[in-house]
This record gives sequence, C-alpha cells and structure tokens, in this order.
Amino acid sequence: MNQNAQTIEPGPKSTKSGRAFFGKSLVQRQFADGIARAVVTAGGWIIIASILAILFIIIAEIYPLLKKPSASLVAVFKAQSIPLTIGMGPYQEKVYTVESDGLRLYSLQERKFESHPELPSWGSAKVTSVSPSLKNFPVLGLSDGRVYPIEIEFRPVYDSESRRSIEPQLKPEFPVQVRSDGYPVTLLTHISNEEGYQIAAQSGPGEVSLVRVGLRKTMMGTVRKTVSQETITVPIEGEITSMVFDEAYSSLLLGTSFGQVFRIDLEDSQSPAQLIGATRKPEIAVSHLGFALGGYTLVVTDSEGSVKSFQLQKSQNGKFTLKKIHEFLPHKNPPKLFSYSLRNKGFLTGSKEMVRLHYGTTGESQLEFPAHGNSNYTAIILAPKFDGILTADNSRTLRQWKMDNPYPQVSLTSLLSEIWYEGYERPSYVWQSTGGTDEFESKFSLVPLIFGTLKGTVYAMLFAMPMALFASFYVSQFMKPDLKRIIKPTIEIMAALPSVVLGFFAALVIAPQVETFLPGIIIMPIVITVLIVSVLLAYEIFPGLRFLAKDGREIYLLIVVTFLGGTLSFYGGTLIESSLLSGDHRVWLKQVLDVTYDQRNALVVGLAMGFAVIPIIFTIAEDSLSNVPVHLKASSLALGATPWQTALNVILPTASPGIFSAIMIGFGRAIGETMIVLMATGNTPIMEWSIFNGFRALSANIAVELPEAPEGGTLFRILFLAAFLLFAMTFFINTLAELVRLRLRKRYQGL
Amino acid sequence: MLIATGKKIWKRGDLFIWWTGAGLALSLIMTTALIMAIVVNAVGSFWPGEIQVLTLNDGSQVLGMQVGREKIPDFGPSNTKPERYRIQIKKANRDIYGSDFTWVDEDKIKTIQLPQKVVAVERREWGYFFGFIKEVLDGDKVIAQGTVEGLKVTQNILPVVAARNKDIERIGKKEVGAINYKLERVRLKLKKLALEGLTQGEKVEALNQEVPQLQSQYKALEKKLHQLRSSQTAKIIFQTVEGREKSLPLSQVLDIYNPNQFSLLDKLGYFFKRTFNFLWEDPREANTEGGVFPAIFGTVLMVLMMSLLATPLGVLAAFYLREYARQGALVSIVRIAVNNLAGVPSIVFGVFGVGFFIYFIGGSIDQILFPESLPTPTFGTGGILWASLTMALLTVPVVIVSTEEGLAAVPKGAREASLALGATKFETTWRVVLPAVMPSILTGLILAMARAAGEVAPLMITGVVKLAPSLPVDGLWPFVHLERKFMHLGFHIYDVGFQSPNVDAARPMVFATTLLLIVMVILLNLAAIFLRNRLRKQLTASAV
Repeated sequence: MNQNAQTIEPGPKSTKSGRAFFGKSLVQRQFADGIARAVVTAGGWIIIASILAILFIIIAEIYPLLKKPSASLVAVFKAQSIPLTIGMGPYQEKVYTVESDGLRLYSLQERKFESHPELPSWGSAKVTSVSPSLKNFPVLGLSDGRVYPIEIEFRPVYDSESRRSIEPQLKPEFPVQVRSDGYPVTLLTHISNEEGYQIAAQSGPGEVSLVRVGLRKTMMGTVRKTVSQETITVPIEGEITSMVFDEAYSSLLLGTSFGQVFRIDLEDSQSPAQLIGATRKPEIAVSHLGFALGGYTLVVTDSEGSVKSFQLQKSQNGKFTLKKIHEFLPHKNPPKLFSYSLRNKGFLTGSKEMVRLHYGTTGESQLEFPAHGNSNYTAIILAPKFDGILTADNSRTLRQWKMDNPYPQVSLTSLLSEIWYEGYERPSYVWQSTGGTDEFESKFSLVPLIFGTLKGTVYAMLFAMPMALFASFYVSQFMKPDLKRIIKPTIEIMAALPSVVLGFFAALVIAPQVETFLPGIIIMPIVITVLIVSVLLAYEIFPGLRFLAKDGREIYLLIVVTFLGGTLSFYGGTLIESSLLSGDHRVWLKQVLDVTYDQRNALVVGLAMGFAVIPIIFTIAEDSLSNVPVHLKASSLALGATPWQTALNVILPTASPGIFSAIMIGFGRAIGETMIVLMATGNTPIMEWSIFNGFRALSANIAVELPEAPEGGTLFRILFLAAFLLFAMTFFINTLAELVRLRLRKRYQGL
Repeated sequence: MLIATGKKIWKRGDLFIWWTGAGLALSLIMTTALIMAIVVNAVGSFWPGEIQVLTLNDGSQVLGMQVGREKIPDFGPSNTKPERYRIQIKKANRDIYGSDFTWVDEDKIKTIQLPQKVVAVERREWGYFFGFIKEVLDGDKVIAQGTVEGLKVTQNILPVVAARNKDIERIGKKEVGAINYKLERVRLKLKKLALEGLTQGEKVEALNQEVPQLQSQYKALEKKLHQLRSSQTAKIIFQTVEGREKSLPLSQVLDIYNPNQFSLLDKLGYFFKRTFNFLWEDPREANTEGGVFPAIFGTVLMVLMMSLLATPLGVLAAFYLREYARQGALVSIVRIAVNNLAGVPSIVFGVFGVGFFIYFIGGSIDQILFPESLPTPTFGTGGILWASLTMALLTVPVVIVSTEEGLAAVPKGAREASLALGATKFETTWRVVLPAVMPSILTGLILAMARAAGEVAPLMITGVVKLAPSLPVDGLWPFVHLERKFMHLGFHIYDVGFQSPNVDAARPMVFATTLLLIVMVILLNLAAIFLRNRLRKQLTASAV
C-alpha cells in the first residue's frame, strides 16, 4: 500500500538567484510564505465566489420577474368639483378632468388646479355623461342633447435652459346634436383612429344615434372632414346600460339591464340586433362592456359585481358568440368604471368602493385599491405607460398611485400552465416571443421549451445509451488490453469534437441521408443481429474459421460485419421502400400513419447528439467496469462461469452505480447541448413526441433570442430563467451522479 | 444441428458479447465516417476539378464542373421503371445565370466533352466565371485574342494588377481607416470635454486644429486612390458557352487558369495555393469565398486570453483546495461544485457573461470611462474581453480538476521530506510540488484550450459576429482593442452553413473551416493525451 516511499527528483538546484527569490533571512522566507498563502487562498476563494456569483447573478436577473406587483400612493389633491372622467399625458405630468361644467386641467407634479378652458359654443350646458378615452380624446354628452368631442394634446415644451415641461393643448371638435328632443345625453361611447371617429349615443328608448366623422388628409395637407349621422332602432327589452364599439368586426355591442349582450352590425343596416350572450340570470344587469388592448378580449362586468373576459367568435354561418375565457376577482358593487392599458392586456375595473387591476391574458387580479373612507370612486385611469393609476372620487379627491408592475404577464403559474391567448381555440402552451404588431401578445410558456429539451435528450439517450454501454462493456470485459489502449483514446477524441461541427454535420449531411435511407436505418439493428448470428453459426460449424476472430479481438471482424450490415440494410431499405412503402416513405408516413416528416427532426438530433454523449457515457462506464476488483472476476471464472455469465452477474451488479452515474452525466450533457439542437432541428416550439418532428430546446432558444432581447425586458429575464432551469437541472443531475460515484468508490475499497 | 449450435451460442453468451462489440464497432465506424466525410469534402473543395461541356439532347450546352449525383426522386409505384439519376453541375457565372448550380438529368445528356480552351476565373465579386477569353484589352487596344493567348498575357500582367490592387486596398482600408479612427477619437475627446463643461480653451483649440490636418491627409489619400484606380485599364472580354459576352476589368480578377490543362503537379500547386489563401485571406462575398484569417486570429486570441485568465486562477484554486484549505465538509462541497461546474451547459455561462460582464461590469465601465460615446456602448456590449472571461469561467473547472488530480498523485512523503529539511510551505510547494504537477497543469490547460476553441454557444451571445470590420489587434493606439467584437471559426461554421443566402456555394467553405477547427481541436487533445500518458509513466517509474 505504501507507494509513497519513493524518490522525487529534486527541483532546480538552489542557486543564488533561487535563494534571493525566496528571501535570504528566515523572516523574509516566512514573509514570502505568508504572501503565498494569502495569494493561494485568495485564488481559491475567487473560484468559490465565482460559483456563487453565477447562481446569484442569474437569480438577481430573474427576481424582478417573479416579484409581486405593488403600488404606492404618491399624490393626493382636490379637484374643484366631482370629476366624471380623468385622463393624463404620457409622462403623468398633467391631468385633465371632465367635471359637470366642462373641462379642467391640473398639474400632477404641483398637485394643483391650472385652468378651466373655455370651450367654443358650449352655452349653458352641463355634462351629463362622458365616454372616456385613453388617447386623450374624450367625448362629452351634454344636457342639451349634444355630444362634444375634445382632443387634448400633451406637447413637450422646452424653455431657454432646455428644461422640458408639458403643455396641454385643446383641440375641440364641433359638437353634434344627437337628441332632437333636447333631452340630456346619458349614455354614449366612441372610437377613434387616424381616419376619424364614431360616436354612438342613446337617443331614446331602444334608439341609438350614430355619428360618423371621417378625417381625410388631402394632398395639400389640409384635413377634409365628412360628417354623417343616422339613427338605429334596436329591438331590445329593458334599458341599454353600456355600449362599446368593436373595431375588429365594425359593430356596436350593447349591454342591457336584463343582462343580455347584443351585437349590431354597422355595415349591414338591415340586420337586426343579434343576441350574443347573457349574464347568469336575467335579474343581473350588464354594468359595463369594454375591450382590452387589441380589441379581441371583451370585458363584461355585471350588477352582481363579477368581472369576466370573453372572446367574440364568428362561427361558420356568420353567427357571433361570446366565449368565456377568464373570470376575475369580483367586486361587491356593480363595476361601472373601466380603463385598459395601452401597453399590454392589463385593465382596471372599478365599482364605487373598490378598484382592481386585472391581467387579461393570465386571468389574474393583481392589485386592489379600496376607496378612501366613505367616498365613492367616480373615475379611474391607467397610466399610458402602465406605471401608474389615477383615481377620482365623489369627495373631489384625486389620487395618483405609482405602480411597480413591469412584468404583469409573467408569474410562475403563467410560465408553466396553459394560457388562453387571444384568437386561440383553447388554453394552450405557446412560446412566441415576438410578433409583427405593437398589439401583439407575447406568449411565454416555458413548457414547450422544456418539452423540447426533454424530447431531444430522450431520443439522444435512446440511441447513445445502448451504444455507449455496449461499447464500454465490451472494451472493459472482453477486449485484449493492448487493443484497449488504442480504443480508449480514440473514443476520447470523439468527445472532443466541437458540438458546432456535429450540429453542422447533422444538419447538412446526416439529415438528408436519413431522409433518403430512413427504412434502412430502422431495419439496421435487425440486419446486423442476423448477420452476427449467422457469422457465429458459421464459426461454430466450421471451426477452421476461428482464425478470423480470436477471443478479445472480435472487433476486427465485427467492424467488417457491422459495416456490411449497414450497407445491406441501406440497400434493403430502398427495396422495402419501393415494394412496401409505395416508393416514398414520407408519402407513406403521411398517408398511412398520418405523420409528417421534417427533414431536421428528433431522429437526426438523437444521432448527432449521440456522438457527443456516447464518449462521455463510455469513458465513465468503462472506468467503473474496469475498476471492479479483479479477484471478483477471477473467482467467478474459477467457479466455472463463462465470461458472459461473469460479466452479467458479477461485474455488472457491482459496477451498476458507476453505470448509473455515467448515464446521469450523459443525460446532463444532452440537456444543455446547444449547437446541435440549434442546427439540427427546425427550432419550432411544438409539443409532439413524434421522432420525425423537430422541437425547440431551452438552450437553443436562449442562443437564438438573447441577442435580440432588450436588456431588462420581459423576454430577457425569462431567458435568464430558462438558463437557471438548465443550470438547476444539470447541477442536480451531476451532483446525484457524483454522490453515487463517491459511494461506489467506498464500496470498491470495502471489497 | 443448427438449432443445437444456436442453443450453445445462446448459452455461452457469445451472441451478447458480439452484440456489445457491435456497439463499439458502430461507434467507431460512425466516427470514422464523420471524419472521412469532412476531410474528403474539405480537401475536395480546393482540388481543381475539370470543366466539362455537356451537350444535351435538345442541343443546348452546359459548361461546368460536376459536383454531385443523386437518384431522381420517383413517386408512385416505380419498381418497374429503371432508376434515373441526375448530376449537379457547378456552372458558376452567378451574375449571368442567377445561380451557381444546376441539375441535369443523365438521360438527357448526349455527349460530355473536355474543352481544351477554357478558363476558370476567380473574381472579386459574383464568385467564379467559367468560359472562354475572346480578347484582352488595355484601354481600347487589343493586346491578345483567344483563350490561349489571352490566358498567357493575362497571367503575365496579373501580378502587376494584383500589386496595384493591394496598394489600393491598403490605402482604402488601412490608411483611410486610420484617419477616420483618429477623427472619431477627436470628436469623442471634444464631446468628453464638453461633458466636463469645457467648450473653449487650449485643449479644445488643439483638438480642433487636428481636424483640418487630418482632412487634408484624407484628401491626399483620396487623390492617390483615384490615380491608382484609373491606372487599372486592362480588361478582358469573356464569352460564355452560349456565346454571351462579358467584360471584366482585370482588377476584378484574382486568379485565372485553365484546369483542363493542369498536370498533376499543377493541380497540387493550385491546391496548396488555395489552401494558403484560405488560411491567410479575409473573407469575401458574405463569407462564402476568400479565407478565414480573421476567424483564425479571433479564435487564437480568444483562446490565449482565456488561458491567461483561467490557468493561474485554476491552479491557485486547486492548490488551495488540496494544499492549503483545511479538508472538511466545505472543501468537499466546493470540490463537488467545481466538478459539476464542468457539467453545467455552456450556454448558461454565456447567459451569465451577458448579465454580469456585459451589462453589469461593461455598463458600469461605460458610465465611468466612456460617457462621451453613450448611448453607443463601448464595453457594455459583447466583445473579445467578455467572451474570453466567460470562456475562462467555463474552462477553469477543467484546469482545477486536472491540477487536483496531479496534486493527489504527488506522494505525501515528498512534501514531508522537504518540510523536514526546513523549507517553508511555499518553498515546498514551489520547489517540490509544482514541478511534479506541471504536466497535469499543462494537460488541464490544453484540454481547456481545446474546449474553448470548439465552444460556440456562449460566444454567440457574448461578442462573436459574422463579420468584424477590424481585428481586435491593429496598429492604432492602444493596439489591443479589448472591446471589439471578433470572428470565430466555430461561429463561422454556423453562420456560413446556416445563415448564408447561398448555402450550396458556401458548402466548400464550411467543410474547409470545419476541417481546420477539428484539426486544431484534435491536435490539442492528442497533445493532452500524450502528456498524460507520459506523466503516468513517469509516476509509475518513480515509484519504488
């Protein structure tokens, strides 16, 4: 055991310079020793710190993503009278309110009243209703039966010292008479875009007056305005309680006091109102109808206090129905106030005693703002940048809340569960991080990516595990040592092949070949087995052939046989293809099995990743098999067991923990492999187990999307989360493998 | 009898032994096939092929090199019909035909001939040209007619033209580039002074005075460039096989030759010339032509920087864990963690590099040292420094593990003997332990280098680009530009093979680059294996 008693070549002879290097006196030498100790210790701790830093930095980037949204009150001040509607500029500097005698402007920064601008041809009217707007284009319903649209522009102005301030500018449009009877306008809604605006106002029982204003820019740069007005009769029971324009289908949706929701087609004046949905009971009235950003998700609140989101779906026969998506946290009182975000699918609902922030995609209710004391909310608005909320109540108080909610659509549940996205038939796992338009809803589900990673790993292991274990078994148990000395480094070289090379080879060489020779590849194991059996039989029957493969050197013959088997199966595969699979296996797969064949698929990845994983499993498994104490093997053979019996019943059970750890480490490598999956799959995030489809793995996804992800954004942080997942998975698997291996080492010492 | 024999084989387990052997055989065959395929394709892409004229049944002619052959896919019940094949022809002349390649069905070919008078031209743009020389002109003067004479004349004047081209390139890229670089620095310095509140005074004046000087230098260079360009008057009129004419200034010609007249020696010479150009030249045509020199340079520099960072740290850490730290639970945990770090996916290190090095450290450096060029980031974006640091972190476990193995193999007695003679711990470590583990350290370093050279995923997000405008090291102050992005052989493979608009034309480049990378990595690995074996022998030899 004591191999330590040995001579070590002395270091360089102590020369003068050498002495000077270490110092001359004992003190100097001890000083040098101390410094060396400090430097080495520092080096060690840098490494420990780096390991911790990797974990810490990644978690620090993820943390904001999973932080609960929060809001804090930043400003409270009084309006001059009760605000009916409020609105603000993009930087939350100025606020306008609609009060009963018209429009007022306040400064949010200085928390004070600024002006009460005079509006042309206002007269003595009072405001009786408002259609609020996030685009700062509210329409006022007046007591004399007119509607009054006003545009407010918040323009940045720079003073002499280039300090910026916001200057609100009013652009009143002309009022339009909608009620010929002169009664006040009590319910109205509107919609606006670059080409103009539409206003719908209730003009009598079961009657809606529709005003369309077209604004067309002429060649000269001036704006030509066209106004048309019509009255629509709506044959409904009860009263209209809420109206909203549906931009996507150019229709008007009405909610009634009997809880029904009607749709009026504005392009087909002949068609009557169509019933598309209703509340739970006729006694429950619709309180408010409103769309979230993009105009797909309809938010319906009712007098029971419930808040639900729907998708308006058009069926084949042209009928529309409302399909329920989510039910949000309800209110106690009917929620009549509503505001939505211009950035994402978030929206606010407000009853008189409570305002809640909901998120349309996930169905979560994220924040709540109870009313202060006995006051009742009269108006709410979500800041344009989704970073604040402004409320007004009947005690004339305006409250500004600052909201810290940068990643409203992300939570652990939303990343890992099925989400019902706009325009989808059912809840599903989708990864689609970028889209064409501003209103595009990013879909961040990690499930398809985790699935992809597992799929790639499983197929790679299905191929690599048997190959590597067989090879290690053969090399460790049956091969002559002199051959072993050549084979082992050869396989180690295989481990050194850069994965980008394997990926490139897989995509440009293996993929087309596999496509051509697919049936051949599938029958290959059988053909090779048959060939081996026949060689063995021939060997047994004609003992004279034995010189071809001596014990421990079968590999020479096997290489020939395997190569022959491979060639034969390729040839046989083409035969099978032309005789049984109607000439083209892809067509056959599609027609008979209904499986589509992608050229870059899981099979190709499995084969290519095999190159990367086989040598790793092989090396570790071979080590643990070879290290089984020799006396075990010797005694088994001495008792008359055949080499195979010995290998299977003595060696394998003893080394099984080592083999397990080899498989684990191979698994860990396959999970994190990036370039091969990036290059050899189509990178489509689909969730199908079919071996002939591609997939998108976590690792490849990071490599593709991180360069384009803006720092600190949702996608950026989600990619860090993906990296953390990879880190955690591999770290866990490797630690497990390491612990198993340590135990194995102890066991060998005991034997 | 067969069944009896079969039973015997089954019982003895021979079948299973052979089966396990087949697993090994298959692995070996696959690896060999992979390497062979790459070598053959890579070498083949530089070997001059013959240019053939195919006359088709309909009388039309195709001029080009045969590069591939495949079975024509046949749908429906086809077992009665004979198999049909088609060949892929590289006909070049992308500017005329629209694409470099075409497929010709074999049964439509009437004859195949080898024309003796044909030229292949490597051009600066649009890839190769295959055809015939009609005449060679100098200005308006005809100086040669026909392929044979034209080829001779062109090959004579080509060196002169190439030398002038080199001058033009040197002036246009290097000298003008240097002036632009200086101008940009002046602009940034002025901006920095302005940020400090200095808009007048000596410093500003001095800087402002540099500008007209640089601009006049620029004008002089431009004049020189113009002169040089206008002295390039020679041009060639080519003819395609269809008889279409194509005029090409000689300055656009890189090489012109007649492959059908090549002897074996000529072919070898051409092969080595191409190989040399591949290693030594800059890429052209969206990386699908030319060489890979910047990628080689970037890879080597990155690996060197990584080694400089990873080796000392790794060795220190290993010494700490084995020699200095008190062996206990903590050290065991750290050791397991270090081992596992080697198994953490490389992309995770890349992500860490992006979050920590680029945005945190790089962003801070920009704020403090380079506020003048913000919002354009200097260090706050991917670059060779950050890529090397990321790689160093990725490879440091390899160095640690290897060094630790070496340290474990140094006998305790050696250390104790040294200590007993009165040496301090440092002296023991330095004089006795370090020389003994040197081969292990070297093995670890080489393995780390091999890993870094082949790794691409983390680099993709920390600073590698498909085409870097300038190398990270050049003749302009401060000579080494650590913030610059760089090119890398592995990424080059990914980019040219997958992002290239013309994948068929890029294939030779990809294979050649792949071979280069594999050779680099395998040589490094072989060196490590060799060292390790020698070390093992040494250790067993020294044991008494």
